[in-house]
Amino acid sequence: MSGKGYTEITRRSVLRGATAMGALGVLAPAWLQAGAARAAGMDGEVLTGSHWGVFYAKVEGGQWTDVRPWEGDPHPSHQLPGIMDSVMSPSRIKYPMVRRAFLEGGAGASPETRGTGDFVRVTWDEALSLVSGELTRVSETYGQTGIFGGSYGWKSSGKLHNCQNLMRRMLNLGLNGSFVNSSGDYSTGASQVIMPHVMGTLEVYEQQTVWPVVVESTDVLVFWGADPVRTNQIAWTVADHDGYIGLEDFKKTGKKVICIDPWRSKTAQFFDAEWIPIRPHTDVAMMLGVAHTLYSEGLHDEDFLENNTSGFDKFLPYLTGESDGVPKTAEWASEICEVPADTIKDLARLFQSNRTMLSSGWSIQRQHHGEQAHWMLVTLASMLGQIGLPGGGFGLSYHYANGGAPSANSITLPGIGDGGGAVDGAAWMTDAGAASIPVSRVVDMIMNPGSDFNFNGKTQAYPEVKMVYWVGGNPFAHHPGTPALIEAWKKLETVVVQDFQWTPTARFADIVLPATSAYERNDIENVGDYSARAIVAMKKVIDPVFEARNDFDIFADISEKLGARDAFTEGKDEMAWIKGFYESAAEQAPARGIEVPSFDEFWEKGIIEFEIPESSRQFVRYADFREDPLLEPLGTPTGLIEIYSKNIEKMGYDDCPPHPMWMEPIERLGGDNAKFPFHVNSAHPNSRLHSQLCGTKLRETYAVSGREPCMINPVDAAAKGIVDGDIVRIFNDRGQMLAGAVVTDEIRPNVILVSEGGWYDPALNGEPGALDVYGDVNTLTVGIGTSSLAQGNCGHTAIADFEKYTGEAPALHVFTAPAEG
Amino acid sequence: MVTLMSHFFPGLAALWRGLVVFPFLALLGASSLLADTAYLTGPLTLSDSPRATAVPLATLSVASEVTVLVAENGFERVALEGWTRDGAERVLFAYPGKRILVARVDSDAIERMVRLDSVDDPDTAIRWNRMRIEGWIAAGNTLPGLDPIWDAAWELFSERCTACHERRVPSNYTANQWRSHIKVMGPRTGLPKDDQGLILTFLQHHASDTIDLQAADADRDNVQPGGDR
Repeated sequence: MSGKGYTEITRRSVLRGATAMGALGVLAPAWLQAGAARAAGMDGEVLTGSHWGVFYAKVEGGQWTDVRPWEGDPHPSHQLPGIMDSVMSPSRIKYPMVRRAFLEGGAGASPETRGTGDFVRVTWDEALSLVSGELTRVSETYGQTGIFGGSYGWKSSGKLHNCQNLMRRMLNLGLNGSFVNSSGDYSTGASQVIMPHVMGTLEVYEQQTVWPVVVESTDVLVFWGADPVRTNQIAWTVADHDGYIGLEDFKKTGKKVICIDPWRSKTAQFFDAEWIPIRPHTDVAMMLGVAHTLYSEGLHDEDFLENNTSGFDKFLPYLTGESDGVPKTAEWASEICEVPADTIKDLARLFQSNRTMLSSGWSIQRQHHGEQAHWMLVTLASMLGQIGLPGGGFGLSYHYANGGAPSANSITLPGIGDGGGAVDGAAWMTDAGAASIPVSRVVDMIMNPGSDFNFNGKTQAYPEVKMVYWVGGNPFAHHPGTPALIEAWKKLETVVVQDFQWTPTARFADIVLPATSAYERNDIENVGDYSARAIVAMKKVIDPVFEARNDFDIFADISEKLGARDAFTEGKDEMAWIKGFYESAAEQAPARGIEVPSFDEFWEKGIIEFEIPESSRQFVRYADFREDPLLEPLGTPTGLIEIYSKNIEKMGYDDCPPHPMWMEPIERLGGDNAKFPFHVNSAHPNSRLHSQLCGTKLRETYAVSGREPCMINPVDAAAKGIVDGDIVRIFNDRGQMLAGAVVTDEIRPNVILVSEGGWYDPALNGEPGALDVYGDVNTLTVGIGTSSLAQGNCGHTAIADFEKYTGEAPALHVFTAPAEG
Repeated sequence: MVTLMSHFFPGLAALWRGLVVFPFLALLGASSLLADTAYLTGPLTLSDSPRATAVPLATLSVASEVTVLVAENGFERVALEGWTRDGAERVLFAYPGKRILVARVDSDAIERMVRLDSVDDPDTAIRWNRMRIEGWIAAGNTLPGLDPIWDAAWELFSERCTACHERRVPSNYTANQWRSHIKVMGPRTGLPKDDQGLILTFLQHHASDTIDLQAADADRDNVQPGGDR
């Protein structure tokens, strides 16, 4: 990771890739050049931004021919060439398309033909008339909650072309808010609901004790199911990559790093860390073993527990076994988590006798009963008593969007709103059913209209949804339990998908609208979710290809058909909106004691950067609360860290007790009723943003025999007669998929790893149970909610078996457009 | 710039545009008497006398409920009630255990407060005292109903708290949780502090553990200009 980390794909391979796909001007295929008409004088390098960072795009003859990182990026992502390819790949959507049966038979006709690729090209006007007609029809037929507009996913960066907001803006202004929204996300579904009860706040999206403090003060740095070296490549706004400076500086100190993970992660490799290959899904048990050791050896911090926490006395009988006859000793934990008892005890002593930062990722909460994992981590950190001390305590966002990077004294951009201000504030409370569902319950909602569901103390009924409009996301990649999703989709009358690539989700739609990529339009965005150290002009790199149109224009046209164009656009075009955002932000500058250039100067320059004040380099999370919990109370009922929650007790959920507990999940490796012998780890990919860029040349840098890679321990591979490069079939009762074997001792035995986000490519045209021939791990994962409390997704809960695939390797279809598409 | 400003910061500014003035005047037309109960349209200083040179007693928060006792020379004498945590008397909240800020009382003014009664919260073993304080505010900073204030807050919340994530449901969180959320998220809106405070107060009064109290208050007061809720 020294210097520019732009090494995983060499420049040579970039060129090779570009040439192979024929995107360099002279070799560009006819289809790519068609529609790519370009104003003269725009050749050269264009600075723009993305989830992967700020970069320069080189344009020659109207074609995008090369990409290089911005010099202000301390650790550019190796994925940048994939961005360029995504714009020009064969999986690009070129024209508005309608599923043939839908076009000929009307809404709901032959839903089983979704996913078969049988589309008909239509004009934009036909497509938009169909869409607005369906919005009106479904809304009039099924009422306020007939349409699901809770689209979720990582859309593209940019404050204006925020397609999800633009869609909801159209639904709010054009349909008076008649749609079902979603709340929460697939990343932190459990933690973002349990943490407010425990810490009074979300935790997962909040600034961490900053890296300079960690480098200075932390003695032992623990990554518990976190892999920041891999996951900090991306950010919700535009990635700054400043977290890598912290990682590199900490490495230079030579201080101890421990990775608790079923595989030797990129972070473990980077630090050459001590690797504790825990059995998946048993983190709570291991934490309890550490906690029990602390307590039984008198190493817990009684003062901190007394002054800053509430309910330890109610948790203690459970820890000691007084309440259930099972002391949660290191030996007890070891039986469950397969970490030797002596190691667990040593960790307890090591943590206590050093300044220890327990940094956790989100995988351990993206599991059945996932609420317990971070609650127990906080409880353990409370017993260690270092929360609020420099470099001590716990952190739930070091691995996300470069959490812990010091914050600049900067101005903040607003963005396009969802238009909900025009709708009565009470409109989301409706008799027809919940107007907002926990986002990962979308399949349950479609399948069980009218039935009650629990969520965080409330009981609501699922609405009856008949139409889904999805933008900026790919549920056929991110939703655990793809086969159940396909079943649910069959109950829908109308599915509209607006995207720029033929994602699996687009393939399962009725109406497909081609949007521009973020590089065919102008926008503006902050750089650095936590550092906010720059604002970048996301200038258009090339003109829209084929018939792609901007999300803003598509939704403005639909709004017009619904009688709300002026309200939607407010009479402003793209650049007027962008200028408005900038000038609104610029209003903040005097109060912050900084000067910013005029919009025109900024746009010409392309980026403005802000200073990071010394105070930001010294930020210690919870220092104020530790110092005076009475004056700086947490947002909990007691104002303290709640190891026991009366509010959760009152909810009476049997799947989420009032203090952290080890609870057996629905299935796990080594569980009593485990039907399959392998845990399937579905970690974040190293060369994608979830499923984004799967449909690009970048795939060729990691695919094995054309399939998504599957890491297998040599012992397991040998037992099944599998060698590197073999195609394997992975299966359980929910689904089956192919993958390419990577035999490596960097994953522990009995666990295989297939990164999430591989594009679902079903044989047999998507029949439930069909073999996925590329490798979408969610064909295997569990679709239930984490518990009645959070109803988060369980994308890391899955056991399965696998075998060498000996049949003829099936052809892939998902990376090329359907006929006419 | 001003036009842009009022567009992007519709919050408190909107209170002084059509949004607010109309129902206020409409109500005046309907009755020549001001209601006893009034709500602050923004943060305000409570002072010891009806003069510009008065000594400040407390800082009151937007949407705080006051009882107007006397009007004099462009000032109003008001009474204000709130709950303080035993041992932390300077901070008044709207309900016991729910940290919806009503007022921060200056340390010199603590003895001016009268304790009305106390409750012990069995869940947290914390005692809360209901306190009353009187003082003077500049006239013209209150409205007889909350609806215009909530309308302005809702517009701000919808516009500014959806730029980075989907609109959160106010009643999915408790009043105390909202306080912590806005402490972190508020600065990310880039809004002036007073507007962040307005959003916070709105969310706290429509939280999972206050939404029913809000409805009960509305029934009790029966003063709801534009009362379509």
